[in-house]
Amino acid sequence: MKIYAFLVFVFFFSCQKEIEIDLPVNEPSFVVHCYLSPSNTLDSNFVNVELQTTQPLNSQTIKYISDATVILTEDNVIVDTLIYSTELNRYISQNNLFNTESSKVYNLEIIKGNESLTSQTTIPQKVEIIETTFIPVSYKDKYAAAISEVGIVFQDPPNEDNFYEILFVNYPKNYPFSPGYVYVYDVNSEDQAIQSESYYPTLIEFYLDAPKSLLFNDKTFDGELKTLTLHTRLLQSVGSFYGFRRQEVKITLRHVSEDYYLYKTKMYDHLYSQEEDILYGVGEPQELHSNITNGLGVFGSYNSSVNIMFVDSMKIE
Amino acid sequence: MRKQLLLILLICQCSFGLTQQTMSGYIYDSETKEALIGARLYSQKYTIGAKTNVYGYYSITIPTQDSIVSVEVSLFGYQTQIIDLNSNIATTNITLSKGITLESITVIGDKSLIKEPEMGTIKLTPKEVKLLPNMFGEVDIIKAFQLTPGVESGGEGKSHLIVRGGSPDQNLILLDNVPIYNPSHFGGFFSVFNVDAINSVKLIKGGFPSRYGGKLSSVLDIQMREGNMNKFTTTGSIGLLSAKLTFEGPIIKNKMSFLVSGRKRLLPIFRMMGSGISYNFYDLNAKLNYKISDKDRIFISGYMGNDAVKIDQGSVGTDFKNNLKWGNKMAVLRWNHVFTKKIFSNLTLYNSNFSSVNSLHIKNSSPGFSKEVNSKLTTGVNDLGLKYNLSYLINSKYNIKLGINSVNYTFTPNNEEYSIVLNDDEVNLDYINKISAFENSVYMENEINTLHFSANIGLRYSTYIVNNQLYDAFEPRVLLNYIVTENLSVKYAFSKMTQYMHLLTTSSVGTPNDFWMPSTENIKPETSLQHALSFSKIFADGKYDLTLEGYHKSLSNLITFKPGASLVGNLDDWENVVESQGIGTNYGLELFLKKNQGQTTGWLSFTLSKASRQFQNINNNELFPYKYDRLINTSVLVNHKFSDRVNLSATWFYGTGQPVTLASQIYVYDDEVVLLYDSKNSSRMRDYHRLDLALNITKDTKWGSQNWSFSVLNVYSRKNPYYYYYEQEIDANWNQGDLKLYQRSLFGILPSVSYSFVID
Repeated sequence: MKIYAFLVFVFFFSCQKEIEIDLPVNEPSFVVHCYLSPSNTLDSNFVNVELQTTQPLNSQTIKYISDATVILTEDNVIVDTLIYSTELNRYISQNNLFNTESSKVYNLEIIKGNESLTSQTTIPQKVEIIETTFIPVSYKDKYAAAISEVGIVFQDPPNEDNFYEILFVNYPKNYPFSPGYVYVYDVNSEDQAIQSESYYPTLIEFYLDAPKSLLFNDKTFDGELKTLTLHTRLLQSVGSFYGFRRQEVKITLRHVSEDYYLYKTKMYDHLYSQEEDILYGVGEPQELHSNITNGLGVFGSYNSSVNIMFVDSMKIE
Repeated sequence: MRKQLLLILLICQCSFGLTQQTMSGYIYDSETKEALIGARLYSQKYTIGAKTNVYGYYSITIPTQDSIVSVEVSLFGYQTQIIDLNSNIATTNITLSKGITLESITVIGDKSLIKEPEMGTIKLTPKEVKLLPNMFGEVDIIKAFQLTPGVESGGEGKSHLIVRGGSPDQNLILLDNVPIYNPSHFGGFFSVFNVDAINSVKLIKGGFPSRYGGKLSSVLDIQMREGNMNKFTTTGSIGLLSAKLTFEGPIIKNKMSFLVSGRKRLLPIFRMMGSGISYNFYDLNAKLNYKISDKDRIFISGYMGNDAVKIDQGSVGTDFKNNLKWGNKMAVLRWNHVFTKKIFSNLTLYNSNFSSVNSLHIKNSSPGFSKEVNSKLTTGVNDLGLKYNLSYLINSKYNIKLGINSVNYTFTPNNEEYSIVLNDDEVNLDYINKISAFENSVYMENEINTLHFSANIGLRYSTYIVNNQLYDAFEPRVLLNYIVTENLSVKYAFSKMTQYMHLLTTSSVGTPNDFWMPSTENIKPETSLQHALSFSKIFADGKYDLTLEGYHKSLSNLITFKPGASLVGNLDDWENVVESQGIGTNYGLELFLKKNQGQTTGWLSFTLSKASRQFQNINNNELFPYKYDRLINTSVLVNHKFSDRVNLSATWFYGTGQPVTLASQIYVYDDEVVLLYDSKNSSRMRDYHRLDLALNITKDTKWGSQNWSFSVLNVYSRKNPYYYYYEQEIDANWNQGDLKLYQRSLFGILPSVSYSFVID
């Protein structure tokens, strides 16, 4: 186990030395990030495409590409040519007159000089949250913070591979949060569907930050009515008023495309591996998934079911 | 096949035309009465020789009418004797007395290098190994082989056997003819083999005789000592890491003996560092040896060894306990029977087990709250096996070996017992799975020895059954030796090997996380084809040996984890988290120059090699350097005997850098810097080199003898690479600076001392 390598290292009081090494100079690659979701939903994302290039190792800035041609088609019909927004560093829809819909096939084509990047995604069907349960104080952690339990029930479509993402978000309006700030709650689960994901930190990897959202597949519950139990730490105050703050928690269950799932889970693996290599060495860098032809990154999609949970301010006993 | 049979018949026919005398028996050490392996008998008059097998049994057939034949009996480290063998006597047992030792570390015997149909084979004795520099007093047989051509350690401080670009699981490691699965203690710093319990050890890298099978890259054949048949002896040693004690002696003098040898960790090093971590290991070897008669002998031997790491850390309201235990156990019963002077048989029944258990207990509690998680992961493999081997010495030029081998494997790939108790609610998730498999094999070896030509030509046929899936393989083995002169030979060998089990392990630093998995309907057995050509020369009257050997090895159906994959959550679906049908291509040139005689002896070993791998979904299906690939690997060993009491040994190793995958570009995702890595293993770590010294001072006493051993590893404190890692600089104002690459080294200069004694 990796903990064992750590022991060996400790035992020998190993030393470190900076290495100068000549690395090959690679041609930069294009990196695309775009997630589509059906328009006009509580969790919808306006159509936007981020395009950057890879940089040498110690670059301090992101190199966005602002002069590419970005075309979006729906079922092989061009619906928009996106324009670059310098404010957002993204390509966005110039007319917003089309709605993205589930089960439609979207193609993305990006042309920059002689290079052409293409990709495709199909927005999945919505999987509704049928029921939500809430226990304000399930237990208290070792810091005496109240941990709440949230249960969600949903029906997994049978006989197909389905991928999901669960996240709890809040758009707090008040101090100390700035306007437009999105707060994402820490969420964890003991459910096997979550625990069996390779990116999910094991009990021994307590030094790793928990992922901000939980991705999982339906391998362990194909076609079933699934109850997923989650734990989260809601916004709470300590001091003279020890209790929950008034908050509006968007419990979001996203039914995501396979590329979305693979990209995000491999990214978690990759980033965790980067964190761990200080202890265990650059031994097994994790490969990243990509569905961009001639490039890196992802063109993915999701369809969300959102339950808003109002939590009033209340004391924690 | 037809031509082979014709050749055999021809030799038989020629031989049948002459009168022959056959003599047989055992050769023993005159003091201990232990069987001597590889002792040679040679008739100068008839230029015919023979040697003892692993049980000390010899059989020699001389084409003569004389019933008494004079032979020279010799073995390195013993006084040569001239013995008259009488073919009218059923069994002639011979004893050899220890002679003046020459302290040379080499293949035993001079002319055997030229005459024997053996290739890519290196033999060492425990006495030779004990003179070498060691870490914390732990003399190690595997580390000694790492100083020979074609063999690598796999990294700083490791006790792996990486043979001709093979992986650690591709070595058939036999202890008294029984496979041992995990030969490493303490993260691979030394092996599980207690040198005090060992009689002989041999490493075969190519030209595999057909009696060996089941692994692709090498055979490490270790024979345990039998125990002194004459008197009780106690041997012990104490070093910085462990203490050893060996008791042996007769139960019935000259008929039955025993040997018990143990080794245990001495200092609680981690506890002393106050880390809440403890590490323990032990080995226990035991053997009973019973000479029923000149025709029958029984051996019962056993081994058990364990490593255990315990982490016990907690704070107020939190318990954290992690226990990691792994080890091997084996028990074997062997029966030798001599049918006639020409026919010797051995029956072996054995059980061998490897298991690794990782237990985790975490409990968080506070007033009104309690959460407890218990997890236990078990992996391992258990063998129940039977081997039957028959040797038939037809005449002085030709002998046959036949045998069968049958093994029942029980794999426990990765069982998990998991429970979580949250306040009063308990959830249990268990996954228990066992896979059974059967492997059977038959083999035939034909060994031919003439004046100018010797050969070992054989065939092994194996079958493997798991879950109604049957695999089988024909494995031809050919070794041809053309004896140009009595000091020069040219050899060629071809071997096909099949391996029905696979080892899954993650690639980053650290062990043990070995998962032994069976071949299945979807995961095919691994195979290798190896060609080798060598030139061997003895010169300066046997003072020097030189071997130059080239090899080419192709591997197929290799498996490895898919990048980022693990068995977590995939216990019942492990085949989908591995890449299979990988191929490997290894080739190289090895040079081995040895000085065998004089006060100063030693060797120079040089290897130029390349080892590559290719998997469809790794590295874009392009060939990449294997993680243990080193272009150049060279060792120098010098042993100087100042006197009978004082010996100085020096080893120097140099190897070009091992492969590493480094990042050369970045991009940003969700405010995180994502490193982009170049193609797999496309960069190299710094070169590795190290000088080690050992001084051994022996003194005879009234009660026996004692020895002080002083070792210094890494004399000039070279900071050799253990692994590389990235770290972001942070300045005094907590601003992030450059991402830099660092090297972690394991140790600088490392002195150690150990004391050993023999009470007899």
